[in-house]
Amino acid sequence: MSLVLEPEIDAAQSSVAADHVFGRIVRTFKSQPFALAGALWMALVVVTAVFAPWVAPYDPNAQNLLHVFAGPSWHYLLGTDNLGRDTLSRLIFAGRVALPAAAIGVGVAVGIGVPVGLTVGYVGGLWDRIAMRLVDAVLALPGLVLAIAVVGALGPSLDHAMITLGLLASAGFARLTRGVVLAVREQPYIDGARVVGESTPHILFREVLPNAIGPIVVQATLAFAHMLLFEAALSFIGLGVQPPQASWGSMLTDARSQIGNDAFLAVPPGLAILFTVLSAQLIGDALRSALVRGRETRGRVTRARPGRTRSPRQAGDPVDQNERPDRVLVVDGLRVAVGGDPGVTVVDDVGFELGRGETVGVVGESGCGKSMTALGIIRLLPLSARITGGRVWLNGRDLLTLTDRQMDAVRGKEIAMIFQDPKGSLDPAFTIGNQVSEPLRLHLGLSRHQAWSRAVELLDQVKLPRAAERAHDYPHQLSGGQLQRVMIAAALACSPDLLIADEPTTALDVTVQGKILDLLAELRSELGMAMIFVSHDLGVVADICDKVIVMYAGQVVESAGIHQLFSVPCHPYTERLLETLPGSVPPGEPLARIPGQVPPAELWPDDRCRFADRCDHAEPICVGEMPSLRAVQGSLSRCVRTEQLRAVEEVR
Amino acid sequence: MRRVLLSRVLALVPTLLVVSLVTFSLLHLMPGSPASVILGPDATNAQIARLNHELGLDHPLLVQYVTWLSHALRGQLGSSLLNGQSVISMIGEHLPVTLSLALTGMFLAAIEGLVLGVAAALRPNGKLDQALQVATSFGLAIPGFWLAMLLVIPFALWTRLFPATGYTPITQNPIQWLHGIALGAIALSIAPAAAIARHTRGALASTMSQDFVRAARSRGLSERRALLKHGLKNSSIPVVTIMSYHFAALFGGALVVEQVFGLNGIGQLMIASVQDHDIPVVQGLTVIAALIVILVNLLVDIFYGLLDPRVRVS
Repeated sequence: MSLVLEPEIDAAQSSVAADHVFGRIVRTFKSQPFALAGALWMALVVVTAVFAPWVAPYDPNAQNLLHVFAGPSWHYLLGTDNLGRDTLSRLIFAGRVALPAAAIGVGVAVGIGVPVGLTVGYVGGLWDRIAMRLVDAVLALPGLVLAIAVVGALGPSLDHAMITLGLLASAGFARLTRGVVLAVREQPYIDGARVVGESTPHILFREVLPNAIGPIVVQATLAFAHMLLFEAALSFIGLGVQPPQASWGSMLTDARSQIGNDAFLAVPPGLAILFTVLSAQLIGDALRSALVRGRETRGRVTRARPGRTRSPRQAGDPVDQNERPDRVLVVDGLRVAVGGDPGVTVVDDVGFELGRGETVGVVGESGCGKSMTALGIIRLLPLSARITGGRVWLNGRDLLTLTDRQMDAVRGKEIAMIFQDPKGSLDPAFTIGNQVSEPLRLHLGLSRHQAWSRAVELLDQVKLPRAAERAHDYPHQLSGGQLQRVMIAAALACSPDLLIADEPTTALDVTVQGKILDLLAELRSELGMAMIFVSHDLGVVADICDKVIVMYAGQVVESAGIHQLFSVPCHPYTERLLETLPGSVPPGEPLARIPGQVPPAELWPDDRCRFADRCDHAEPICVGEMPSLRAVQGSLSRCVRTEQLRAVEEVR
Repeated sequence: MRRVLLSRVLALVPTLLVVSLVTFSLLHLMPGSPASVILGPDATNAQIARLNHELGLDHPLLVQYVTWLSHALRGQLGSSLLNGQSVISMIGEHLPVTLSLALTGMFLAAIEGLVLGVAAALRPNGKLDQALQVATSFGLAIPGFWLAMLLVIPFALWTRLFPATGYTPITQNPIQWLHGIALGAIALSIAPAAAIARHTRGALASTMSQDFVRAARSRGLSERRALLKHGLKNSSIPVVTIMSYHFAALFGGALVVEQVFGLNGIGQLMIASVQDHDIPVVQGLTVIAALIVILVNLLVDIFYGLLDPRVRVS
């Protein structure tokens, strides 16, 4: 039995603006057939209960000993019981017991819980702490047992029991209301009201309470469902209404005693309880989605998942990696889209190649598609994104044609990745040794023991001090820099051919950054692996990369060797990025910033240069058509004016 | 860890205080005095006053409370007003039935809820996931005692696979014990199982969107392995918390479900005592029921501490 009064709603949720409320509720019920059915059933129960004397076909207590245990018929729609009383009439009249009883319970709970929550939340301090301790204490008690005990002391009365249950449930409302108060207490308009000298009750009830109404209404609806179940249980054990008055619970008591004679008697009252409780819950859920914000994102999964290839083969020059066996990785025409079909393209025709031991930097501002490119290559895009085209050849195999299972075997073995946030990227519930062991056991088939000792060696190799001891530590016991070393150890455990490093030093202190970069460079040459180094920082890229692709708005705008790029930048965007580096201006002068920001992907044009709006050199020719990526002076550039601009530069 | 344990035990003090106050006040909520209940309607005022004095009911309330509390702390819960039997021994006779039902029900609920929740999370929005959404709504709305009756009809009345009534102590015959309580425990387990399944599904979904799951997948763990290892362990904490929440409700439900099977548990004892105004028994039962729930919650809290290394190691 779900006799639980749990705090269903988070404190931080606040209700929506009042003027749209009614429309939102109507729309929600219209769009959710289950909720609508629940509302209709509840309305039916309420209306028939109110008009019971007129609606019910018979007197609920009228006995007809000639028609006992009559099955359903036109005469008695739901049959009769052992005394020949009409079941349908009794069901209808029983609504007059259940609904008011539940209403009393909810009324007491709201009437006491909400003011208490408002007060302690607003006053705060010691009172708040004492009240919350008591709330926890009360919520931990078995409510039904206490209700029965109070009935024992005060005498059999459903009202006594429901008031007791309401008092217990008020703790949940106090907690909920207090949470909302805490969330809004420091808002400027509350301060404003205080400053203009509004009285505390005025502030509480006029300014604070409206924020809590949505969550309270939802919680009250769910509590109503619980109270209906309590009433049924109490009446069933004979401590609710007294015979011959009908209640759904007491009808089941009669059915229980006659179960050998007529099992059907147990069905209608039980269904009445089930449907009514279910209706209250469905209405509560619908009200929550209409009234309470912040819940929508909760259940939504944005899980890392291999991107599905929609149109993997595009017309155009096919790249066969067999022609270039020295290449570890060849990315060709990679496209990633987010959202529905066709969705918004966030990575647009990205391609590059990597030889053994070679490192490519992928640079650009946030929102340029760098990380999406990296995640696309390893096929760990978020659930909302998918690969829509291109090829990713790794050691001669197109990763985009592999099954999920084949891809699992590639990740961690041939291709590995380290992430921006080492703290979030290690599972807090497992030791670091365990997590470094993971790929060893999975790919190399090592035993737990072997994997552990190999993991310790790896941790030692990434210069984690006292590796053997620290392998037993949990992530929360290590610093950010140490955690990134652990991540590197886990990534390199199976000596992959390709390491993808997605902003691996961005979240770290500057002093630690350098050490991590040195470590990566050292391990790269030791293992001879290729590396994709994603960064927004050209300075860092200069230290570690052999070549660079510059991305803007999902496209590669320039691709060049590292020296070439720094000495002769071809694309204006690259130039602007270089200007933001410290050292590009004389000491003392402020660093340059690129004005504006990358527009959101749905605004990226397809018929003109995407950077033109932010470019100092833009001319009408730039917005005539989409420039193609073409070879210019040993680089690839996506600027139609590259030669002109270079010429101007040289004249200067 | 010792610190955690201490703070958990200390956190029980307010709960125990609330329980003791509520329980103590039951006696004084009663219309008429206990003495008049014992002595019946024919008693003279003098007789009532004398018995009140003997029972210590003429002292100030605070003194009575302290006396009652100190007795209760030593396990003395008084004796029945009706037959003078000690409350503790009466409860001891009836408790095993109810506890069997409640603990078995909770055990089943945990298994059902976890298995279904994990299965649904393995394929989000798959058929099973969607079916479970509907099924859990029903599970949360169905009264346990009605479900018990629905189980009795086919399994005990029509086929006699299970007994419709009767309890065998576990010490006498464990198999018959289980046979006797099975239907009741299943009926009790459905609502908490529905809640646990929902929470497991939800907790797994939010854990699986964490960065560390993506990192684990980048090391080659399949989605299923990542869910069963990283997802499950990290989700276990919210799920375990919800279990302790539901035990209190399940215990109350067990008192009612007993009635369906005519079992002589503490539900029976409580109903009889309530009808007879046998307040010391009602008080004793309230204290014991609250203690059992509190104890289970404490165990869960400790278990929770064991699960979370951030609590355990510091």
